[in-house]
Amino acid sequence: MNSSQSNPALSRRTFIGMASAAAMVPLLASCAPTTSGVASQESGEVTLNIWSNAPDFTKFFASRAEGLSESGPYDYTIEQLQSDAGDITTKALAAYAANGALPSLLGIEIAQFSRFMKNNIAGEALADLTDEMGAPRDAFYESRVQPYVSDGAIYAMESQFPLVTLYQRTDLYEQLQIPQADTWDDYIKIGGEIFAKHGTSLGVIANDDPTWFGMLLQQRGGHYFDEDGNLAIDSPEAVEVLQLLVDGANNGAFTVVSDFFGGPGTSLLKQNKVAAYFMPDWFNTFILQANAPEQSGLWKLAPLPLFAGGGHTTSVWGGTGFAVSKDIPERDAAIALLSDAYGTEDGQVDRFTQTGYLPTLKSAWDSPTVLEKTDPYLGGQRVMELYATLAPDAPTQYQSENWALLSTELGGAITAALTGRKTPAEAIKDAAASTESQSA
Amino acid sequence: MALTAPPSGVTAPRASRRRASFVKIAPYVFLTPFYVVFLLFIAGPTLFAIYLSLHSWAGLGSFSFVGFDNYTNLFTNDDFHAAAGNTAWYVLGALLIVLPLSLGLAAVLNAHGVRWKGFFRTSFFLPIVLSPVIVALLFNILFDTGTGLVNGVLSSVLGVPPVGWLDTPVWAKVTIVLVLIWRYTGYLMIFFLAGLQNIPRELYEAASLDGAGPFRQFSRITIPMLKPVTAFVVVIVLTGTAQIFEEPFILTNGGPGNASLSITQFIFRAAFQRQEFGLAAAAGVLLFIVVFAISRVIASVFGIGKESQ
Repeated sequence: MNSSQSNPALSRRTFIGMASAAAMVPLLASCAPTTSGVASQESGEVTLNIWSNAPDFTKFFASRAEGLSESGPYDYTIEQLQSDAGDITTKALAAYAANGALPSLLGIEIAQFSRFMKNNIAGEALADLTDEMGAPRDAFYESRVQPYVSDGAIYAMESQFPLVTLYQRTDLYEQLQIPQADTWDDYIKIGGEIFAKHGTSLGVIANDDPTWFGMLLQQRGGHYFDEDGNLAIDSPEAVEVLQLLVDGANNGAFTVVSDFFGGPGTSLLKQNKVAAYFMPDWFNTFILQANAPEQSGLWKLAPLPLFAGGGHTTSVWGGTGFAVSKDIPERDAAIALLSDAYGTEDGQVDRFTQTGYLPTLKSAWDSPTVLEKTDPYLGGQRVMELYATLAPDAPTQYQSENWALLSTELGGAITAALTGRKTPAEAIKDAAASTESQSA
Repeated sequence: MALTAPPSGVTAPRASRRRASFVKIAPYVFLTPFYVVFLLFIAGPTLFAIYLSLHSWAGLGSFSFVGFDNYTNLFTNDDFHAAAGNTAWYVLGALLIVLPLSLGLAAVLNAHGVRWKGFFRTSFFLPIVLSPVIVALLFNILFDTGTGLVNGVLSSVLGVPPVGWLDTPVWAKVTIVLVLIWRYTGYLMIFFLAGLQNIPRELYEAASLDGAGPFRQFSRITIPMLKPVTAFVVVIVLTGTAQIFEEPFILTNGGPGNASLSITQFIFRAAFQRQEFGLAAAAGVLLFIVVFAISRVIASVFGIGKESQ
């Protein structure tokens, strides 16, 4: 008997087989279904991991947790993970798939929620908050509840109420004697005249970003999807709104940029060539104050012009809803904190004071702290007086798992219409058809 | 009981057996780290991607087998068609413009009598070490239709009306190719320069004595002698550009519409914006097959590996 027979050597095939098996174990493990039915901690020390796309949220939750630790059964410690809206959602979905370290509270940007609607991921990964929001559903503005509904259950609570208004440069309005417009048709007409005389626009839109189209479509009463998630974009309202943007771009009322939020948009803001923007409330802090602090006191808010054919007095765009992971030991503690911070009048007023985000709970709008707010950047304007008249008329945004798909197609449609390659009607029809075929 | 040494006749075969089995196992032990990494990060994910491409999966929950549906969907998907066409643009732009430019630059820098060679080499190489985010921001500001410096200069100097560099479908692709030229020409030049410096001077001297001019020397000596380097550069340009992501993603986000969308961006969107991992995997597998096949053809055309055989 030779040594190779008594000590059989590792054959190449065996070696590769073993290595393959070793390599596949983690892959297969990562695809294993998530466990469910984790018992939730009822009291004591608890650490909440907050994953979000902005530091304001975590700071606010931390301050609420401090108060709640004194009065409630939990002693909270807050940890955070922050990244941009898309990345934080991707990280969370990867964590749910791998059943790894999960967020206790997850901030889901409104456009990202559609990713949780696919294959009922929301139901698999997130806690149903329908009866655990701290207040009944009708105590909140429906406009801010519906976007986080999937299969009839509410999976996140909104952090803000991004009402859309007209931001006007008071100095330019005065200097160029720009009259106020009641309707969008008048606005485009006035904008064209002002541009022809002075080279100043009354709005900025991006060439392939559906943000402005979406805002105006909702104001006009149109929708991307209906309440049941069916495609609703191929509508007369959508064509009317796209036509309005094209008309505005063609006569100079709107300046078209390739990147509104990047260099081109910012440099335009600082060149004093734009006298107005139609944007949500977050435009004030995230864009104006951040990029043009020297223009403090020069801006004011005004209501949007109206559509002659009907619709709303305002629109909404953006938002971040906070969800709670379903299968974590700290689930109840996270829900307790969320419902305290977002589901009570005190919490919402506190949130408004700390972060500036408009309340979503109707009763919080009666608070003097909220109503009496003045904004130094907006020349000391009592902005809440305007917002308070608009909030009850805010349109509702209906979600669908195909939201991202339609947004991409609309980007192409807007470009095609703005460059004259298609009429607005053709562009909308093609975007709807392409979305329909890809989502089938 | 006293300890006694075992008879030497017993120890020697055991030690030799142990040594023999160690010698047999040793290569595998040394190869193991490579294979583990290869299997974990290359073979495993590749196999998983193939498996995934035959299923529908949203990233969570169960997989459902769909056969070749994801592949057939790709062939009828307008976005994928656009992405494939755009990617072909980028690959052709890189192969037909960036490659010759980098070879030309390398030849110029390798010529006798050129001063400040180090300065030029560094200048041409710099764009590749800049962060893509900075590059995108820079080019966004330069090429914006309304506020960009390029249009400003074109309009004030030549009276040319504003060009929609990032706004119009064709110009958006052209702008991305321009970024590729700016970013990669200097980088590829370094490979060609290294190849040029390895060509024996005697060949040029002999050719010169035989009356060959600079063009003839370039076509008859430089280009044939650079064949292995060229083959290498063509393959890395092809594989790199076929997987282009950063430039269109940050500069135009694939727009306007899908005018500058690349295949990897399509994959990214399908997986991480629409949760259609099966479709994304199918596109990835298809991209792999096409790039692999073209690379093999190029290798065969350039005769890579034949010399060593």
